[in-house]
Amino acid sequence: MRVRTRSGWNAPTYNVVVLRRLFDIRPAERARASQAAGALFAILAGFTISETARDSLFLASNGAKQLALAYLAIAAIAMVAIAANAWVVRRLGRRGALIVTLVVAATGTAAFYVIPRGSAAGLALYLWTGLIGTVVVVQYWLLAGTRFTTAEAKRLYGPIAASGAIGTLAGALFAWRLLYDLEIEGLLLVASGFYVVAAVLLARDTESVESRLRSAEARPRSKGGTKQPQGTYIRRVVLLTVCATAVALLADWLFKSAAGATFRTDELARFIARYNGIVAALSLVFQLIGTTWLVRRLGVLGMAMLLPSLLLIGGAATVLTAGSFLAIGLTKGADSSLRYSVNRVSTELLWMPVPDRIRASVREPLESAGTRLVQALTAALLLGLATVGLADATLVAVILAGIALVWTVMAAGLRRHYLDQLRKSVNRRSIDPVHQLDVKAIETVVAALSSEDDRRVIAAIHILVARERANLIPPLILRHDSIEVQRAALEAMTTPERTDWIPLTWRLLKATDPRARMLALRALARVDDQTAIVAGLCDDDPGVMAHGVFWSLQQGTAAGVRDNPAVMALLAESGQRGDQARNELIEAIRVDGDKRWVDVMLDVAVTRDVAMIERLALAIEHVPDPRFIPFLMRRLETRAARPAVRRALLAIGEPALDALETALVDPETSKRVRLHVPSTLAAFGSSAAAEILGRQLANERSGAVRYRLLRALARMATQDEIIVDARLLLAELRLHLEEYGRLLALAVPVLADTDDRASAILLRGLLADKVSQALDRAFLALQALHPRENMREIERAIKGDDQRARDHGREFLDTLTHTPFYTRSEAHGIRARLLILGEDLDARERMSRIGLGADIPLTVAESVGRLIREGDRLISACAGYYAIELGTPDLTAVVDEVIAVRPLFEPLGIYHRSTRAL
Amino acid sequence: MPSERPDNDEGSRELDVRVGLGMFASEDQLAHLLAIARQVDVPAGHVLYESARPATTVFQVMSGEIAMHAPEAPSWRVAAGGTAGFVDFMQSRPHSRTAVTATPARLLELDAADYLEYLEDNFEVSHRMLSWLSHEVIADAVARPEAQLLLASAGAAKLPSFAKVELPTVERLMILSRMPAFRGASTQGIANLAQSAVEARFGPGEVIVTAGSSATVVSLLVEGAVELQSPAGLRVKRAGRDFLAHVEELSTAPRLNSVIALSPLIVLQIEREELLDRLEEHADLMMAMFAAIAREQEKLNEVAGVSGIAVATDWK
Repeated sequence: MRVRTRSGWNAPTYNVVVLRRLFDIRPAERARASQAAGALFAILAGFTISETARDSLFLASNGAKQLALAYLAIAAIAMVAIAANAWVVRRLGRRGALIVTLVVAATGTAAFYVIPRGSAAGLALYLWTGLIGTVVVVQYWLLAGTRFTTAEAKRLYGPIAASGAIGTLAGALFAWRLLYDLEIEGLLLVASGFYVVAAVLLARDTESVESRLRSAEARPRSKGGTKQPQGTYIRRVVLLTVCATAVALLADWLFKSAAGATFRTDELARFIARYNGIVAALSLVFQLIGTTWLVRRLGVLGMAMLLPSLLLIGGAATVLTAGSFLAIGLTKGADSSLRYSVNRVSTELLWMPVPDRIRASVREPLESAGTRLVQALTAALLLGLATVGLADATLVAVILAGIALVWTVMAAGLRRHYLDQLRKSVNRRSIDPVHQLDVKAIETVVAALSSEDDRRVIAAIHILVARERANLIPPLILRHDSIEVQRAALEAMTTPERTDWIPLTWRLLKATDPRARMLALRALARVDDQTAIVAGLCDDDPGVMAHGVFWSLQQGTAAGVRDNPAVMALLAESGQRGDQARNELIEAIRVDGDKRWVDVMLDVAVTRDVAMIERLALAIEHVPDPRFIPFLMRRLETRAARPAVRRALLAIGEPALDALETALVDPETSKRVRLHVPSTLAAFGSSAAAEILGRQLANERSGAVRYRLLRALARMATQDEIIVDARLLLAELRLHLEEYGRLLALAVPVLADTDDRASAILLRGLLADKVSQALDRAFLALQALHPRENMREIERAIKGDDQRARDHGREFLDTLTHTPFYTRSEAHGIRARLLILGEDLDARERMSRIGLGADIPLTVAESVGRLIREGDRLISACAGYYAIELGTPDLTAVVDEVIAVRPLFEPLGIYHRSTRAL
Repeated sequence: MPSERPDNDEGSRELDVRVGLGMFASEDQLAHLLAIARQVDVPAGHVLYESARPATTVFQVMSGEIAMHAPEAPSWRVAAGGTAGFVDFMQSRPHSRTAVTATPARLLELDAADYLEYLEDNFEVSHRMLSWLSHEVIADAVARPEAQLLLASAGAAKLPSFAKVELPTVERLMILSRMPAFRGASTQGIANLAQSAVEARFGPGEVIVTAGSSATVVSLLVEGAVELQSPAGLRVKRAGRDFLAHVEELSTAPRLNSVIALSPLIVLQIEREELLDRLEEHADLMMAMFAAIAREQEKLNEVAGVSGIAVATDWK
């Protein structure tokens, strides 16, 4: 129920809030959740009633000593039943198979009503009921996995399992009450009726997760890319189930043995009914007020540890009290009350990030045949112990405690693997930077050196160089016609180990193409070939001659080369020939120059030619000198040269770092330069650079620069493993999450509006983008806080159309932030705001849930009025523009009021009332 | 049925990726491409995708030929070096044609969303591709006999005139957001462009761009009419709110056409460096530009089909 308040129809009453905390079931989910809950209620009520009859009849006619034999027999029969069930699933689908199984269960259970009591009938009923318990419950939860996504499961499995607990309680109470009026066998007919009800309810639910995902046009996941192994996580989850199964059987044996020894036959049925009732009531309490709360408080992993920890304590208490009935009863009670409530929900959630295909292929055999096998082995162990006279409560409790310990340790160590699994379910692929090739692949690449396609030849050369197999490139390739192939080949072959390229390179010295002559001259000069250098000095081409001049001076010992007449002539040369000569001279310095050439480079560093700037910056990287800093700082504006300029500044080192800080702090620095300083600082990858970025982030006023500072810090944290001040990042994260919430709350009425005026569409688009932008920045801060995670993928998943990926992204955030770090005071509220991001809720509901419901304007007009007063000039202007189109007196007054204090509005298109008509 | 190349031919796959997709890519970027590209050998007659299906996969043709059919329209044939599926994918729409291998073909298959991520993650590649593609499209269009048809604008609708007032930012934003070039782009991205743009006005007869020059600004026509003039004698009139010189505005190569004002003009000009900064900040703007080029490429393909030109390309 909702009430009308100042903040509109969005402030729920206290009761609604409390109920929502307990049962967060959304309108679209109600039908599915009710059907699922009703079916589970009926299944477990029926099962509990038949279990009461079964245990009473079996213990009365066969005694507790035959329990181990019964367990073994159930395991053997389960194997056959499971194979049959798999066949039925293939034929009828999961839902159809469960319905058929329930109908068969109802018929078979009813049949026992007419069979006379006796040892054989008692054993048969025990096996039949055990079989139903195994197959039906597993089938039910596997079906549920196809009906609900992870996020739905986290909210709905608690209430659904609660309905199961109510079913168990109701079944126990029914059985207890009915036993006053009916024979024990009469319970079997009632149980059959419940199975039929469950089958009918399931027959009405036809909508699967897949059909809903398809209707939402989910983005298909990648088919290609690197395969992602799932093994470790799945092995661990399987082991949890194995431990849980073994422990359950041991606890059951301990309890039934103790009960059989404590009560007379006529008291036993009523005791079991009463005990089941108490356990079911406890389970129900857990479900009603516990599971949803526990999911929020402990997370999936905390919940997974709860039952094993309690069983460990119970087992230890049983050992210490030498098998007291109280300790055993409490141990079994913990198992019975939590197994189908908290532990069932946590197990279901642990399986959620596993791909459907693997889940079906591993989990079904595990939970049916696998668990029966474990039960059989445990039963065989108990039989063995009984045979040698060691089956006493203390020893069995020791075994139980040991297995519970393993279970607890496995559950405690699951966090890393769970996160990894969620990561895999969100990330599209991993990129392998070192892609190794085998011998056959290398042969294919070498063969490609003979291709007629120049691009393929160059690709082959690059592949061989990247794999350090350049020795496989034959020198004959220098006879290739393409200058680009010659260049790639010479760069690959001119290593100290090789000389076989020299004869063919001499031939290139006489090539008609001056680019070939330059390549040859440079390669040969590097191995002191004087003939080549002289040939260069005599060449007509200014570029070749420049290389000749460079190498002639490289051979000498002169301290400075600036005053050399040949160099002076090159620098003084005008026109295209001069440009070409200087370009090639700088190119030669870039590759082979040294400090003696710095003055020459300074002379050239007046150029405005982008290609020359880039080449010069690359040369500075090779011969760094602080005198180039002013030249380089200015060139940060030029995109084409920027990567080279950054590398040059990096090569200069600390003086460049100081200059970058000065430029960043100085408000007089050109805006374009300031925008690119953060990334340049990040390239330094040092703590000092990170400190500069952090300091500026705390003081920066420009939103664009702030964004780049944050991005640079995130990059340094991820790529260079620089530890960034966590307090600063938390503050940023909080700031952007708050901005996200504030803007979204403010924009709710406008975003929900359908006005198709251009100004309305514009305002809606802008607001949606601003909200998204705030979120981007929050994720950048999160990235810097968690540098080993790929937060961009998580953000993509959360913002995307794929409901499953969105759910996994949210679960990832939940688990990632479930640490003490997010409980400190500076982080207060951050987790709740992060978790609401992935929720499938409309904006109004989302804001209400994080306490911003009161901030949502009541009407579009109120929203626009507040947006006009926004600090962001563009939002303000667009809102003002829309307000003028709406033309209401209130909004017009707001526009005029804002214009009066913000005259800068006019250039944006918002004029005062007095001039608006013009 | 297509068969994935066996693992031991990984060298061949890497060669294909470098040659077919690796334009402008660094070694790291090539690693990204290698992670998303699958090499497949496909027999003749195999349907790669059907018309009206979502454009989730794109193909780079390494050898062989693909035919792309549409009802009551000439087929396109895509040869080695071309690609199939990009025109649809870039326009965020289902496939408009059915693609069938006309001969046995070797292809690189890419999940379209993976490739989109590659373009978004590697701005240095994508902005170079944008420039190169726009040059290819304009060079192709100018060389066609139908150049007049291909380069003319849709014409000016009756819109309010700004002849007497300076364009305020919000109006600029509205004008840009309605231009075909920015269809699908975020309002924030367009707003940033609008704020970076400078309003320029030209009188009739003024030469705004000269063929052979390298423009440092990207010009968007707001009001008035211009004529594109190529050195080969081509004359095309453009009016309405669109790129001033067609998609050549996005090319960094020397201009193929001069642009001359035919009437009083209002032009929004954005420095190329500014434009690239904005594109880097807003991947959606970049994708809108790719979509604009894809639309022009599609027009070229349609014309090629009608003219009976043997091989058209879905994309280059």
